[in-house]
This record gives sequence, structure tokens and C-alpha cells, in this order.
Amino acid sequence: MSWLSRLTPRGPGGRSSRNVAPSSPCTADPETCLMVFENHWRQVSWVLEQQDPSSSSDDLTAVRNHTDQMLCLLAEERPGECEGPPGAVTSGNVPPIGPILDLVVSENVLERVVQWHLRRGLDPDSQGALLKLFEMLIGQSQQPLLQHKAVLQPLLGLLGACAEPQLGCPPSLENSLVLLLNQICVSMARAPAVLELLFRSAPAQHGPTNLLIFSLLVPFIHRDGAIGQQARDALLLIMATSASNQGVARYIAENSYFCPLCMVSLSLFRTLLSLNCEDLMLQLVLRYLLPCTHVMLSQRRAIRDTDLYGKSADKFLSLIPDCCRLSTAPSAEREEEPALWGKALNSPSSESPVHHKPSTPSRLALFMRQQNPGGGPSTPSPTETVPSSPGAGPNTPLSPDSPMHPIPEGLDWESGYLEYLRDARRGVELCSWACRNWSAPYDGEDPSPNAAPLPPPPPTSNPSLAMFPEHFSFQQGEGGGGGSTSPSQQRAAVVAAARSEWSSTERDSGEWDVTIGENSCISLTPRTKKRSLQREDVHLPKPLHLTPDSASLPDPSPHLRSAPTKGAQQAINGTLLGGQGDRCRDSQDGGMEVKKVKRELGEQQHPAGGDSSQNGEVSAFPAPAQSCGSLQGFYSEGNGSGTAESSRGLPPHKPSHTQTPSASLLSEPRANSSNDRLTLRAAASSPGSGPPEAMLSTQSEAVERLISELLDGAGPGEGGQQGPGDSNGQGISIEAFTQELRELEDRVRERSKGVGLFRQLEETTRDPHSGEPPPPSLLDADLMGSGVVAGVVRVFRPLGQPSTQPYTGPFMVVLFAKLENMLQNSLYVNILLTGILGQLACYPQPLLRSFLLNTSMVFQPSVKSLIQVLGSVKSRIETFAASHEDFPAMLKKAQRYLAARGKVDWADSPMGMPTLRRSDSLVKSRKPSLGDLILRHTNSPTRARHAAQLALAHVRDGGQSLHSALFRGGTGASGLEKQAEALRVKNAVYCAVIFSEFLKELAALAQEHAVSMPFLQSHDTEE
Amino acid sequence: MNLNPFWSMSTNTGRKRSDGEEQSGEQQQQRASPARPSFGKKQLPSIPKNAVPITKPASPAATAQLANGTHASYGPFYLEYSLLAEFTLVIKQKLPGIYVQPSYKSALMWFGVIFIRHGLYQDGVFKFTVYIPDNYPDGECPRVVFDIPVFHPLVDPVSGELDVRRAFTKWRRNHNHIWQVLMYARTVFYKINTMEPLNPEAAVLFFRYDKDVQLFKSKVVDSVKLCNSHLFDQPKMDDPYAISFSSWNPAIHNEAKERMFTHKRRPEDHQKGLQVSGLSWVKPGSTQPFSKDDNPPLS
Repeated sequence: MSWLSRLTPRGPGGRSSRNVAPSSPCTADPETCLMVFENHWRQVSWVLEQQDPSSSSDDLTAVRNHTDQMLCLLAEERPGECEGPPGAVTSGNVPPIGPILDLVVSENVLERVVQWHLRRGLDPDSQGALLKLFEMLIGQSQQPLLQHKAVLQPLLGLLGACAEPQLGCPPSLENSLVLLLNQICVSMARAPAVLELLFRSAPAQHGPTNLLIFSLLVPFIHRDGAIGQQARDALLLIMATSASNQGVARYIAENSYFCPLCMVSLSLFRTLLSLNCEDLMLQLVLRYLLPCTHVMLSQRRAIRDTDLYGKSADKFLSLIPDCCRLSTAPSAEREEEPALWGKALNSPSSESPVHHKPSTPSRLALFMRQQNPGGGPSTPSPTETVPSSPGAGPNTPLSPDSPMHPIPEGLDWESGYLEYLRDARRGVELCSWACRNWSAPYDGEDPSPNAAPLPPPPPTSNPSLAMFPEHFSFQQGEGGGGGSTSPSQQRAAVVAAARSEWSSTERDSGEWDVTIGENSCISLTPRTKKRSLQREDVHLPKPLHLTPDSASLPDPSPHLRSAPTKGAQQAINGTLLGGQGDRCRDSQDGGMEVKKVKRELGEQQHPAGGDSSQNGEVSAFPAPAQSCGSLQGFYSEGNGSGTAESSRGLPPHKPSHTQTPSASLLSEPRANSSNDRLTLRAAASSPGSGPPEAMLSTQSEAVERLISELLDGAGPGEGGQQGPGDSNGQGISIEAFTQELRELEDRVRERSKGVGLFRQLEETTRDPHSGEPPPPSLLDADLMGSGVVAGVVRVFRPLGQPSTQPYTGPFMVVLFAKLENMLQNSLYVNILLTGILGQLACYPQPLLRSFLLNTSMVFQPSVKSLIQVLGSVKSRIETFAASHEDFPAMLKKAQRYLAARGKVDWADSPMGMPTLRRSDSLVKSRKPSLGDLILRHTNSPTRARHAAQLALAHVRDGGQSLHSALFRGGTGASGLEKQAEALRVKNAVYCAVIFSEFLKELAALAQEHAVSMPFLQSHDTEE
Repeated sequence: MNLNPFWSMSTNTGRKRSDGEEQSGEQQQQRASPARPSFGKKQLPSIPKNAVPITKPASPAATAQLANGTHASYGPFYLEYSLLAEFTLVIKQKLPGIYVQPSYKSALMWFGVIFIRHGLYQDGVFKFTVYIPDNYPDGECPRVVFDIPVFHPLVDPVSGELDVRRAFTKWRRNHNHIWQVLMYARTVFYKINTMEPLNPEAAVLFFRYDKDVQLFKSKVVDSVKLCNSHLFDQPKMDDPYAISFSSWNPAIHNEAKERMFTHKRRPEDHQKGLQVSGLSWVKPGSTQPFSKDDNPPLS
């Protein structure tokens, strides 16, 4: 597979050396080429000089044909010799430019061509052609074209056009656009000088951001598949490159939307977690767990249990797919890394004869603990004596230390696990240390579940927030359904979210319906590929009658297509309304209806210039949505928009246009067809659920989340990724939390004024100039992926309501949803994701710990457990592995590759502690390569930067080889497909590696929790 | 504060030194157990009641879910961590007058000492060893063997083994824990049970306690004396972490004691630059973020 080719080390100068020593045979001598070029240019310029604004299509064709030829010539031109033509831009050792480029520069050829196109109105066809041409030019040129304003300027002009609302980038051109952007970033990474030039010369007229590249890329970073990968890679490149460039970093931070959205808030997000702030954790997670409604009543007492016998650990480890297990057999590695293995094998054996050292980190710590304060008598040297119990006791040597004497095959594996234990120990310890001053233990009794009726938290008390993925049903309908409404029920919530599809053929018809139960039980069905199956149903009104049976749906899995709902249409549609409890009873009589709102194509104005509605790429531009008061999910739709209405007593029929109801205008549906903002209106509908205001606000919040969810949900489907995984993208947008977090953070900041440590925190997290945050933030952005939502809406804090529906909070739901989709996530996303979950799993609070790590805990059916999610991932990996013969080989290579990177990473680690054993290096190479690579370096700027560099190299090499393998020569559709497939495979294989490691990490955490000792509260101000 | 050589107390029948032992002339490895915040402040503990779990016949199914066969290579980790977890539980229990510590060589063997603070066995200091079956927690209950057979109805006069099994006829994982065994070992010296004794003589004597108080008592006192007189012996087990006693040596013990009092446990590799303390503005008893008064947090 092509991605593996990145494993082949590429010399840093691999590319540039080509400039000097051209690898491809020259097609013609330079002078001939120049003549041909001039000839074309003459004809083109003749057309260009026509002042007739209504140039004929013949003109267009001619220009395009000639341009094609010219740019091919330009791309193929090699830099001149040292005695090159006059006028060559020579800087340093850069060879002088070739004659064609020289002409291009002097005549401003490209600029004129592009301007001509722009003036006459860029039709998608020409736009696409230009994008491709530039992509070809940048990707294949043997000269550093971007360093010339004459190339850069028109390029930016073209990109600017793509960012313009009027024109935008049609979905059909998205691939070309992203590819081009990717190419630019690759060039930039190769020649950082371009970066500055690029940013400096960005045309100022393009909206509030000059950072075209950012602006254009951001909408795509959450996409799955090739396009998303390219966008992410490209962004990563920029970030990594800019890490070394203060000016650019500042520019990014201050002037682009990208950072204030993504960089600061999201990476703060992560930082906030590491604050171990009680208030924050309370808000994020704990308050949802406090009532203990997520566990079966009989299980409540088990909340405080720890994994005493390694049962949970065993469970986690058992989820390591067999296909991954096999390949960890070290034989291959031993061959290939003889030195390392030799050491690894030698070292233990040399000490082993009298080796009685305590082995596991915890045990080691136990003894250290004992020795430390005592400092007492020196330890007598251990003897061989094997303790044997008197009497009938087993006389066999007790060897808990046996991990230290593993059979060779076991060494790697086990010592790797040892390392995890060590890390876990440290994590748990630091975390419980940091939490020692919390106000309560959060153990299921204190605060009391009953006494915690959740004053502020809406979700727990509010069924409308029970937006588990499985409760979302996307009803995907075909285009014709616009406006068809069901006449009946009042208590129905309707959201029709139309979406354009990735491909142009589909995009006209793509519509997604989200149904909200009257109780705000929201259903999204996983997107189904089989659109045809659903065609017939599209126009059906969808009164969904839920039977009480459905209330007892035990399966929390999101793929509940076959769930026992009564609504036939639903079943047909593959839609499921997973009602729960009383909710379902309610909706039973109420029924639900789905209305589709169809929107004209192109009506919307996409701020990003893309009309692609999907998935809230718009979201990347948060600014307009910042308005807090109203629930305006600000996203433009390609061809449809959705309205969400939970309307009880409201006219269920809506004009088939976008509507701009604000939450406060609940009772007055307004249609505003000219407005391209999609607004969702929600009416509280739970019967007897409190004062209208409360209902309103709860609904609002539900809707707000729904918006996010909608945007989120469609994401995975974009890149040709499909299948069950899709539904997982439907996590609720983290963006809402980001907002929430921002508020929290502000409060924290405010409170901690004068507290030195926070200042320190601030420095490390806030400083946009440090260039340090980029890598993680990028990942954050990636994680947010589809969750990046423009509709940053104020989080409503409704009054408390009786809690009926267990809900573990949007945060957890999002994380789990994203985790379930692991196989499709990029490596970076997965590293981030597992990092966050790992961090959460360090928390000693029994509520949280049991939720994440107690695998025998029985949760309410509606609550998905981590172990369930992991189980699902496991089976997906196994399915994948089974379908790829070369999976073991790929996996091995992926492991080796990651290990190699990790080794470098660790070798350079400033804190590189002396290793106790040789095998440590091997161990470390394995694990931190994943976890520490990027994510966990946040404490260390240098390491973070280094990680970014590694990632950069990774992307550069990988992307390059991938690209050259697939694109050079053939830019046909098959190339794209191949590329998509390659990315899919790559993601899956990396996922398999990370998944296994993550399981070990979790297992280790479960074990360490069982042996961790609480810290005393520090009542005194000791620090 | 009684800084006298602690073990001179062994002959002292007074009972005012309840905290003397806490000041511990023990030269065993000092425990810096963080779970013991109240060194030196301990009250004479009340004898726990019902500390011994009532065992019911366990269903055969309980043993069915044995052994982590699946991931054999992790077996040692599970066992060791299970035992460490048990040890952690022991520490958290803060059993009065009982100290244990796993041996250096094996997590399956714990050294312990028990201080009897009142009752017939007052002033007794009994060292013992806990042996945990290696198929723990699916095996039988751990065994407790006194270094020196104490004169007691439930202690085998020859081997020194305490009859633990009568309290834990069936060891049930998740229900039975080692701290319960330790608690039981303590309880037997306060509540004397003569049923099916391992030491019939003691049982009989105790049975006739009413009539022959002095006889039983003197036997006990002798036994206690005997035990205490061997206190400074080398540990039976040659293990770096075996518990050994020595007379109070100010040069060594004062400093150690000081450290015990002042020690505050911190994360192992706690670094200065790190986040010192989690922030919290949650008012105790509230579940509201930022509900506390606007004072900055303590640290």
C-alpha cells in the first residue's frame, strides 16, 4: 500500500535534488519550449486584450486550451543553469529561473489569465480547470514557483474567488481545491520562505481574514476520507512550519479565524482538563454522573469498587484484536532491530540470577515509599530464599516478579505493559494529588445522588438533551420531498436538515432529516448508503408512533435500524426513533412528523465561499454566530436546510424554506426564505415538564446541540466513508462546550487572579507566539472535526427538571462517538482522542472512574459504556483486518514506523531519564510514540515542537509519496478513489495500533486505581 | 510523649502507653503511609464488632470464573496488583494496632505485627506472617502464622497458626479481603472463642476462666512475656522487609520519628513546576461550579 512507502526514509533533499538533477527525461530543449509557450501566450493575450466583456465561449475554450499547454510547459521547465538568462531571481544557491518562468513573471501571465477569468465570471468548469492547473503547477513544477509573486498573486486571486460567498467552491470542486491547498502547504513546508510571502501577499479584500488558506482549509478538516486527510495534513504542515516562524504564528493566531476558534479554545479545552479543576469537571462530566441514574440501581454501590483483581484490566486487554496481537510477536522486530533486542534480552538475564527486585511500578513505589521517609538501614541484599509457607502451603516459588523474567517472546509485550503501568501510576497519582482539595469525593454518595437534583445542569434533568447517537435518526430522503408535511400531530419536532452530498450528483438531492421526538428525543439514523432504498419513502410524512416497547430498547448502539419501533416508515427508512421511557409513551400518542425543507441550491451564501452545506464546515467560521442570545445555527446549506421544531401546539407545517425562528419566538414560526441561516426552533413539549420558560430554554439547548449534531453527523459520510461508522460522527459538537468552556475558563481565570500557577498555565496555553500550541490545537480542530460548528450558541441553563433520562453529558457522548469511529479517524485524531480519554480515566473520583474503567458495571440501556464502544471498535478492526490480506504486514510496519518515530521523540526528550533497563528504550519507543508524540507534550514546548516536526516529516514524506504514487500522471477519478482507499487503509491500520495501545493504557489505569492511595487534603497553605 | 526505650514497656503492666507504640521504636522500615494522618494521636480503639464477616456457603459458581486464562502473560500483573490492591485496602482501613507489610520477595507473603492494647492480652506484641495462596483470590483464605505460638485457644501451640478458616470457611473474592483476616487476628485477642480450639489446653483453661482466672491469666501473661522477650530477635524470614525490632536508639529513631510526623506524601515524581493543586471553587456540599466564595483557592 502506498502509505507504507512513507516508511522508506526519504532524504530531506530528495525533492530539491531533483531540481538539480532532473529525473525525467527532458521532452524538448528549453528554447523550443519557450517558443511554443510564447506562441500560446500570444494567442491567449490576444483574447485577453479584447475588451468585450461578453467574450464568447470560443474565447473561453481557446484560452483554456492554451493555458493548459502553457502551464504544462511551465511545470516542466527546469531551472536554468547558473549562467541562466538575465533577470533570473537568484537567491542563495537557488538556480536562476528558466526562461518560461521568466516570461511568466515579466508578462504577469498568470495574473492576467486569472483576472480575465474572474472578470468574465468564473464558471465552475473553468474554476475547476484553474484549480487543477495550479495544483499541477505547484505540485510538479521543478522550480519554486510560489516564490514568485507573479505566480502567487494569481493563485491567491483564484483562491480568493473560492472563498467568496457569491462564487464559492462548488462541492464538485472541493477535491481540487483541497488538493491545491495541500500542494501549497507542501511547498510551503518545503520552503518555509514561501510561507511568509504567502501570508504577506494575501489579498486583503477577502473578508476579515487574509488567511485564505486557513479559511479555505478549515471547512474540510473534519471531513473523512481523502479530502479531510489532505486538509488536515495541509493544516498540520502550516502549523508545523509556522511553529518556527514567530511572525506567522502570531499572524495565524491573531488574524485568522482558524486559531481563535480552534487553536486557543480547543487546545484550551485540553488544557482545562489538565487543570484538574473541580468546577470544570463538574460542569463537563460529573454533574451528569452525580445522580447515578446512568447506572442500574443495583449497581450503585459498585461505583466505588476498584479493579481489585484485574478483571477490568483483563477485559480491556481482551479487546485487543487478535489480529493485532499476533503481529506483536517480536520475531520480525528482532530480526530488524538486532541491537536493540540484543540489549533488551541481555540486560534482564544478566541480572536475573538473583533478581528479586519488585517489578511492577506500584510495587516498586510501595517499597520506595517505605524506604524514603525511613531512609533507614540499608537493605540487606536479597537472598535466594524462597519463602514457603509452613504446612500445606504451595511450595512453589512465588514469583510475582515473573514479569521480570519473561520468556523472550514475552519481554516486549510485558515490559511494554510495565511502562503503561508506570505511566498510569504517575497519571493517577498526579491527578489525585491535584484533586485532593476538591470539595467532595464524588463517589456516588457524596454528593448524594438524591440531593443532587441538578440545579443548573440541563442535560441530566432534561430529556431533550439525551442526544445519544442512537437517538438520532437521520432520515435521508431524496430531493423531492421538500415541503411535504404531515398534517397531523402537534407534538412533533421536525428538523429537516438538507445536506448536499459530496459528489455533485448526489448533492442535489441529499437531505437529511432529523426527527425530534416531541420530548426532544432526537433521532438520527446512521446515514445509509443505499439511498435508493429510501427513495420511495422520502415523501412520506413520517408520523412516528412509538410504542412503549421502544422505551425499553436495550441496545445503546447507534445502529438501531431494526429496533422495534412501530413506525413502519421509520423502519423502512432505516430510521429509528429510539425513545426512552416515558418519552416514548409520550410520543406514542403524539407521533412525530418530519418535514422536509428543501432549499434551492445556491441560495445560500456560504461565508466560506463553499456552498457545500454539509457538515458545518461553515462552522469553522464562528464569528457570525457568536451572538449568544439566539439559537442561530449559522450554517448555509448547499441545497437544503433544516428546521427543527419541537412544536407542541404549533402548526406543524412550515413553508419549505429556511426559517429563522429564534428560540424566543417559539410560538411564532416565521419563514424567512431569503435568509440562509438555518434556525431551529424548539418548543418544549414534554407534558407537564415545568414552566414554559424552562421548557423553552431546555429545548433551546437541545436544539442548539442538535444543530451541532446535525453538522457533525453528516461529516463522516462525506469522504466516501460510510457504513455504520457514520452515525458516530454524530457526537454532539464539542463546540458548544468550547463555548461553555470558554465561559468556565474565564471564570477560572478571574478567580485565580493572583494565583501564580494559573499565570503559568496561561503562559503555556495562551501564548500564541510561542508556536507551541499549534500541533495539539490542530488535532483539537481535527477532533472537533465535524463538530466545528459555527453555531456557537450560548449555553442555556434551564431550570432543573425531574431527571428522567440518564445522560452522561455531551462531552462524554461526543468522545465516545468519536471513539467509536476510530477506524476512520486519522492518526492525529485518534492520538488526541485516546489522550483525552486517558486523561479522564486518571481521575480518581469513583463516579468518573467507574464510568470509564469499571467494565463490569451495568449501565442503563441508554448509556453507552466505554467498553461497549471499544468492543465495537474492536470488531470493526477485525472486520477490516479480515478483509485485508496484508493487514499483518501493514500493522507491523505501522508499529515499527510509530515506534521509530517515538524513539526519536524520546531520544530527544529533554527529560530523558536514565533507563533502568535496556528494555526501557524499547518499551518507550512503543508507547509514548503514540501517546506522547504530540498530545502529551504540552508541558514541554520543545518536545511539542519536536513532535510537530516529526509530524511534519511524517506528513511530508507520507503525503508526498502518497501523492506521487497516486496523482502524478493520472489525475483521473481512479486516482482519487485509490487515494481515498489508501487513506482509509492507512487510518485503519494506524487505528489498530493505537487501539491496542489504548487498551493497554486503560487496563493499566484500571489496575493502578486499585492500588492508589488517596492524598490528604491540604488544609494548610503549604505550597 | 514517651521517649523511653519503648520495649521496656513490655514488662510494664500499666496501660498508659497507648500511644507509646505509635512512637515506635520499631526499627522496621518505617511506613510512610499517608493513610495515617494521625500518628501519635490515636485513641485507644474500641474493639470492633462484627468485623469478621459472616461467611455463607458460597455457590460453586463462584469459583467458575477463575483465572485469567485469556491473557496469561498478564497473569503476574493481575496477581501482584490484586495483592497490592488488598494492601491498599488494609492501609485504608486503618486497622488499630496492626501493621503489615508485604515482603520484599513475594507479594504473597506479608509480615505483620499486632499490638494488643487492653484485655487479657494487653501489651502483647505478636509478630506474624500472612501467607496468601498463589491462586488468590480464588483459593482458600490466607493463613496467619504467629512467629511465636501465642497461648490462645485458636492458635496452634506448635505451628503458631491462627485458625482463620473458621471465620472464612470459603474465601469469596470481592467479599473477603485480607484486612478482614487481619481484623480477625486482632479480634481473637479481645473476644476469646473456645469453640473447636486449636489449643485445647487454652480453651479448657479459658472455659474454666471463671473459676480459674488466675491460671489462664498467668498463662497468657507468660505467653505475652515470652513473645515480647523475643521481640528483638532476628526476623524469622530473611527478608529485607521483614519486621524487626530494636531498642530505641535516639541516633536512628529520633530522626525517623521526626520524619514520620512531618512526612507528607506527594506524587512520586512530583515536580515543582507542575500543577500544584487542582482548582476548586465548588462549595462543599454544593454541586454548583463556582459556588464558593470568591476567595482564591488555598494553594
